[in-house]
Amino acid sequence: MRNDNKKFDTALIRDLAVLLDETNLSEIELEQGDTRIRVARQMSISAPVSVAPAAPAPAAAAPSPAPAADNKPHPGTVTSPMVGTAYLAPEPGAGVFVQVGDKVSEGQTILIIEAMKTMNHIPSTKSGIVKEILVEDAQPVEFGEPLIIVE
Amino acid sequence: MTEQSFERPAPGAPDFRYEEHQSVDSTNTLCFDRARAGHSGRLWVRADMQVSGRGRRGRDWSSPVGNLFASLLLVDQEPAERIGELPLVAAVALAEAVDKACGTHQLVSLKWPNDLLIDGAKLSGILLEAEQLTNGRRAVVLGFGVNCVAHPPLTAYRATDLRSLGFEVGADRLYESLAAAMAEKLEAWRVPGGFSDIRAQWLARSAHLGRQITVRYGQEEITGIFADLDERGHLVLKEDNGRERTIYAGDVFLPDK
Repeated sequence: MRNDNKKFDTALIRDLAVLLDETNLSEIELEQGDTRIRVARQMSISAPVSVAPAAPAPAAAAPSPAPAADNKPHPGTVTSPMVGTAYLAPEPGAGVFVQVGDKVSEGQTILIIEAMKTMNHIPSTKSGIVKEILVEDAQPVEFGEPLIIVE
Repeated sequence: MTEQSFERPAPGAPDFRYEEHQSVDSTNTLCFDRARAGHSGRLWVRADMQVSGRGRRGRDWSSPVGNLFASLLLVDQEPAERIGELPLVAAVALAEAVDKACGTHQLVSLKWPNDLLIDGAKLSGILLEAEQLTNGRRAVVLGFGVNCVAHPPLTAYRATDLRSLGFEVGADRLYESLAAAMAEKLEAWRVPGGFSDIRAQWLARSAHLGRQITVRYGQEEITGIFADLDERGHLVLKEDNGRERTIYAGDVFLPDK
């Protein structure tokens, strides 16, 4: 690592990143001596920065770092496709659609989410055994909220 | 698929299919049966009576002969991210259908999101259900129950029917108006930005806009002024402390009821 250069690069990359934003360009490439710097962005939310040829881009130089990868959810997690109210039974007082330990098949309705008075039958995304039910009856749920785990 | 031989073009909406039965468990349930068997949608199912008609959260829907019971099945025919707007589309279509069949203007007003009221009494119920099919397609069923000749003595709401108000409108005539209105509204709504007209039509019939209402939602009750519908059709409630809350689901009551 060339620490002197790194310091210099950081400031320059910052400047370039600002320039990139102001001009709405998707890419700027600059060559000075044996250092070549390319600042590029793929989408408005992230702007990857690469420094060629030797040093990898210092993290601090990225104008807007790519969002950190979420913690990987359990692969059998069924998440809510909408904001609404989760119901574990087809109607008050009736038996629940599924219980922990039940065997379910893909496509089987495991609960209902009501949104805008529409009763959405939520299917299991895979066949297996219900390992965990993460919501309570009549609980409000958010988009993407884990509902149930099937293994 | 012998059942499908019942099918014919829908009265009032020739681009839709139609099947009619004397008696079914529930027209919504039959629509889902058809969808799971691979039906491509745009199908109306009507019945003279329902053995186990149901409303929201399994509430019984009294289904005597002479009233209208009809459900519309849509399969992948609507923009998925806008399904939440469909209850309001359905309410506006049914309200216009009632006006047309009765020869009236703005006879019915609307209670959020999709109940039709005449002088504050409930005329109809609309039950929407959606299901992701195993073939990856999405079935949406819009069930309509309209009190043409009789109404049940409900406890939670006052109810009414068209006959008792002096309108002799049979289920057949009302159904044709509804099928035509739904076809027209769905067409107008489906295009990008198509909901803004529906929203305006809904607001023009709103029974409670600007009035104090109570929304019961799960165990919670919120009271406030019905301030607006947001651009997606959600209810915007202004609480006493001035805070605005957006309501996605719940039952609307007048505080004095």
